[in-house]
Amino acid sequence: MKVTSHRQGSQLDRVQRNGNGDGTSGEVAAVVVNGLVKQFGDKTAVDHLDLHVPTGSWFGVVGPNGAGKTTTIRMIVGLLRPDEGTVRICGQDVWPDPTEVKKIVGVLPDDLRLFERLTGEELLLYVGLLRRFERGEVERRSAELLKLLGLSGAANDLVADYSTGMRKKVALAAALVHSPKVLLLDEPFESVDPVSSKIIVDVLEHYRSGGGTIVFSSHVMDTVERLCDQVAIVSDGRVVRTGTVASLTDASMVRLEDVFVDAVGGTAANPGGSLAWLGVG
Amino acid sequence: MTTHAPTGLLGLAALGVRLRWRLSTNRLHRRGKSTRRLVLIAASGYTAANILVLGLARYTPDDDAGATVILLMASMALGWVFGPVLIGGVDETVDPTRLALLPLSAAERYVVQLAGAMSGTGPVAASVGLLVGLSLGHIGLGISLVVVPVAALTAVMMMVGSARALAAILAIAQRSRVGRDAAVLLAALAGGTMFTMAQLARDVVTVGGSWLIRVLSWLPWAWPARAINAARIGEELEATIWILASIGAAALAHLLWLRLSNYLLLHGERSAQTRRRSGRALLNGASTEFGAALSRQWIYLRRSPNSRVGFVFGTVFGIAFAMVQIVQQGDGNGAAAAFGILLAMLANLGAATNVLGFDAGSLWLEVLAGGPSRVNMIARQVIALPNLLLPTWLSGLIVGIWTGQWTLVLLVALLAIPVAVNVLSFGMVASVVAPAPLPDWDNPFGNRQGNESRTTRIAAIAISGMVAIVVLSAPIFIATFQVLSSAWLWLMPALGLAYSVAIFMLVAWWAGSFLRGREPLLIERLAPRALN
Repeated sequence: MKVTSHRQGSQLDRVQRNGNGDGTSGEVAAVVVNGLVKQFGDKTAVDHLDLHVPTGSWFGVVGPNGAGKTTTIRMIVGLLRPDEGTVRICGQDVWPDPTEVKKIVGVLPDDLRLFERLTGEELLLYVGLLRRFERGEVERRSAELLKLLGLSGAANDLVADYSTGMRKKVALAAALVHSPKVLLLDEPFESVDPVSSKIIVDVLEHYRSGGGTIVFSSHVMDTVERLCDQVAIVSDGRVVRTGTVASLTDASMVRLEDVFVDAVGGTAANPGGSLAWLGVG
Repeated sequence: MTTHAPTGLLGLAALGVRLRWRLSTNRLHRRGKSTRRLVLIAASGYTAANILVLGLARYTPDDDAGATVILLMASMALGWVFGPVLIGGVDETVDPTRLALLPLSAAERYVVQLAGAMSGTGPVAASVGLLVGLSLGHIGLGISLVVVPVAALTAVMMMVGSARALAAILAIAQRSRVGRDAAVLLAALAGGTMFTMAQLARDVVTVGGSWLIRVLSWLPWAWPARAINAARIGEELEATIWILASIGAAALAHLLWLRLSNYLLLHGERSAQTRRRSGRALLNGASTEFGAALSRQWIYLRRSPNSRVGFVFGTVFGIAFAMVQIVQQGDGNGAAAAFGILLAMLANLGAATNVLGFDAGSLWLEVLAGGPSRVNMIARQVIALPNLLLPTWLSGLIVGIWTGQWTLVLLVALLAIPVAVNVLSFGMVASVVAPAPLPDWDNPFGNRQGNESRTTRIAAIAISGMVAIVVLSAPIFIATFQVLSSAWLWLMPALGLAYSVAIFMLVAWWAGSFLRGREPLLIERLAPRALN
């Protein structure tokens, strides 16, 4: 494995501290990814990917299925070792030892592996205690989070009995219970009903208003356009467009979806006469 | 306001114990009072039995006591290490990835997991049984005062470390098709060995110096027993060497577990490459409903981890089961041995009696298409034939080589076909009347919620299955014995097949009618996630 030296990462951070033309001058970036590479056998899942997430921003990582979004997020949060490149969160190197960085990030992964036979309340308490919070504090935070997320009534049910939306919400609560500086969410709105989505968005907006940074992946362009102020479009493991939503959409003159389709080179096949059999006539 | 608690390693260990305790009690609470009682009785009984067997060593000659302690500790270790892989565990603390998002160092994560691993019902029962039993039975004056308790604790630590290391190896193996199959074969062979040992335990114990004891005594899990045996007879140097070797082996197992857990956490993505399948006729060229159903079953038998695991396990266990019964009957009767190969099917009843439980996640597709129909059921049952016949025929090969009764073996191997069809007929009834969700064999860390209530179902099906299959197959064998020395003999497999196929089709017709209208219940029972 060839992981780029710390010096290179520090240079990038300094560039960002001194201003790089994207309006983030003077701030230590929340997340800086530089030259990230990950290969699985012959397939290059992430190919020299760079990201710069300003502190306090709501940053969307969008891309088609298989673009490398999940792999990138897993490397950012210390769940998957990169083959090359550096990741820094709030100025701290994630690799080679991601333990320290995990104290300041909250993560909602796409494959929700939870302790199924704990209740929602027990799960949050356990996570909080393992993060070395005092029990009373964890209980207070858990109760508030469960109430806000609409899970108070199911707090004593086993996680195994939760629906997909409830699992997402309790996992989000577990990601927030320690009040992280950076929150990374992988497809947080996938398979979630509109009411639950609204609740999640409200909680996230509250978190962000307190200075938190949110990075989330999605392929639902409307959601990204509505929520994010910065976006990176990923395709084939590379960032093909990045910037503020306003700059990418030319101040809302074009839809983000069109920018996305243009960036990833997608075209919708015209069915023409090939689906003549499809219909009720 | 101070929100962080100063939690050291001991505090983390306490959290690990509480987690395991909470997971266990929640699970037992969910499964009802009778299960809670059963688990309590089983754990107490297991502890008491170990204390009794090991404690009685004080009143038995040194040779017998030595053989007993080696056999008991080795078989306990094999059960502890390979048992969860074979029967499916429900221990969520095995999986390190659930702790992956927490800011724990490798050592801290290890402490949490170790505490969880040591505090389950089974581990506590085994540890208490070993510590008390060995102390009662083997502590005397001199070095045994130190060696016996240290050996008991070392044995427990070695079992925990190697069980968790094996689970981690299996999880890593899941990432490739070859690795998965190799892991399954390894587990099946280990299971076959354990089964054979359990079946022949009486013979082994009565022959104190048997070869099996000698073989077992070289397994690392038996080294603490060797230290105890040496200490018992006052061989201080030998006892010291074996206890040090035991401690070293236990430390190695834990180191391996720690390293593999870290590997799992940092390389946590499947790297198995998808093989491109081009140039093949889709669904093997099927063009009818039955052809499509059968072809899907055949494809799943090869591609589905669940089906492949069942097939490999069933083949190994089928042979082991048949051969153990044959061996226990002695080797003087070749005819009994030849007919004994049919017993291999009994070990594979599971493949034929729960065909709706396999790959139940996609059952809704069949339901939306108007099924599962009679045709679907026939295809699902027929694909169980290889599971039934392969171990039977392989057992026949062994018996043929052993007894030289090739003609009789060939006749029974042919008669096995109509018998297998009778098994399918019974299996069709069991599959539609009492379908059960299957555990997730694909992932050794997966939730095995499907295990719940399996034991009762398996027992009921095994008993009723044996009766039904004997009754259904009796006419075939009665007719065969009638013409044993005539030219009609070799027609009997074909006639038997016609008879059993007729029954099978009749049962299939009934099964199709039975399932109509019950589809929603079927999905609720077998694939509840599909309802979410």
